[in-house]
Amino acid sequence: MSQKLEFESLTGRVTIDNSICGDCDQYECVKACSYYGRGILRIQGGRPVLSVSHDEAKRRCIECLACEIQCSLKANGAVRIELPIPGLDEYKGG
Amino acid sequence: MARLYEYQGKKLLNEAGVPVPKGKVVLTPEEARAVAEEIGGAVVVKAQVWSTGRLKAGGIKFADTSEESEGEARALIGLEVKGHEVKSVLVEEKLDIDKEYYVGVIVDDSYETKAPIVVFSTEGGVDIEETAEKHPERITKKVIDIFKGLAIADARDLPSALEVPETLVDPISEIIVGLYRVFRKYRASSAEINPLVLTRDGRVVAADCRISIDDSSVHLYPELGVEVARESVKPPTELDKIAWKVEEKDYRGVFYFMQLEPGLKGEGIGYHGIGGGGSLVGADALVRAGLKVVNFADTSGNPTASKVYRCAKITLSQPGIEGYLLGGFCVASQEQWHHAHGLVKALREELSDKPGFPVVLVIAGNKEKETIKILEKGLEDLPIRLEIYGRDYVDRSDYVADRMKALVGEYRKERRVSN
Repeated sequence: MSQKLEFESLTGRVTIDNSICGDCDQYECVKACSYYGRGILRIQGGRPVLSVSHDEAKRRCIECLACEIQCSLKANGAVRIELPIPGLDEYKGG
Repeated sequence: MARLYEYQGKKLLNEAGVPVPKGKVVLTPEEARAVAEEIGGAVVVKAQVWSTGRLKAGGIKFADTSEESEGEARALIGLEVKGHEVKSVLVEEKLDIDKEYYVGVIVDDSYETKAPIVVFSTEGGVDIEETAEKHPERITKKVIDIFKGLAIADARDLPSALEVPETLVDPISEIIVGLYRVFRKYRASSAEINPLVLTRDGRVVAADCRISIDDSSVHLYPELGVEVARESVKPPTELDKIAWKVEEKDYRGVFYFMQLEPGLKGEGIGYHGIGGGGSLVGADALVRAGLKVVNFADTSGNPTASKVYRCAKITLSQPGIEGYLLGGFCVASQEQWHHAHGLVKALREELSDKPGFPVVLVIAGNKEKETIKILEKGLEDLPIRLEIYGRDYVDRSDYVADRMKALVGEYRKERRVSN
């Protein structure tokens, strides 16, 4: 199984690094997606996976960010959501 | 409402058959001279800024020769006129004015009307509001049936109702129809020609204009080059443009952002409100407390957490701010935990290396208790000065602003000591 689950949301990219999950059996990311979001994650083989296709995930994910925050607060911090803001780094650097 | 510059408005009017003065917009004094030579004779050099009263403010100059026009353009470009930097000037033929009129199309959204109305006045060159107050008899109006449009015969009723010479009724009516055509074609929220000038040689010409396009329609007209489809009295800053890109194609909730003090460095509060009216309440309270509000931002209408995140990131990116206030001075019906998740992500990314930085969060509404728990837990290990308030404080904006002021005071003191 791949070490990372990656999929696109409407304006960003979600990465769940299974190597960080380790022996986590809390599945806060899956619970958070079900509670705060649209339930596009499920558990398979002890790991979070998409319960829909990548295209469907992009359509359904509401970018609630709950998977990242809840995993970070209650589990291992294995979820990372990139939400680019074009031009902001250059602005800050300038 | 996205405002157009005078030269842009005149281009649209010209395309709709409305006579405008001969002229061209330029960016340099040398170009101004070339345009003046092309026009021949006296010209007027007009600063292209979103402001009325440019003549009194020194933003409109007259030149008898092309050499003079170059000098006037040189003086104007780069100058600040009513708080706006002049980046371009419109060089036009100088009109020999005999009489000034006013014509405008606005949306009357009152319950009785709910339609565009055309307003015509024999008093041009002054604010129509002033004329309405002092000389209401010199104004006439007509409600337009949006399905039928405005026929020339209907337009004639306007000048005919006032003391306008018979010979001018037709040319003015054609201009009124042309203005309405622009209003409809570009889905304007308002379109004005002021003054509409009668020259001594008998021409009727749109000497100045002001056209605003409905925010939601701007994307239909990329040729207008509107960078930020928001009502504003000033051109967008670099950060305004970055923020607008977040909102431009993402209709999930609303994210509004405007820098108020882009030049301010080393003081001021980054302000992020929730809900239009509630947001204003918080910003006003900060001002009353003697704090400077560097920007005004608002996330509402059930925005995604990603939109809230980006709003907070952009707000916190302003150089030298001394505090961040989330002003949710309303009890929102939306689930506020999306705000909480967005904020936790943004604040953790931006403030982990800013010890003592003041952060005050006011948030109330649906799922409020869970929201506050997420915020408390998510921010507990940040080295910041954090205060979180719920629904008991939505009507205590002055108290919250005073708390922010106190935290900013402590932060300043701490930084002075460490420096």
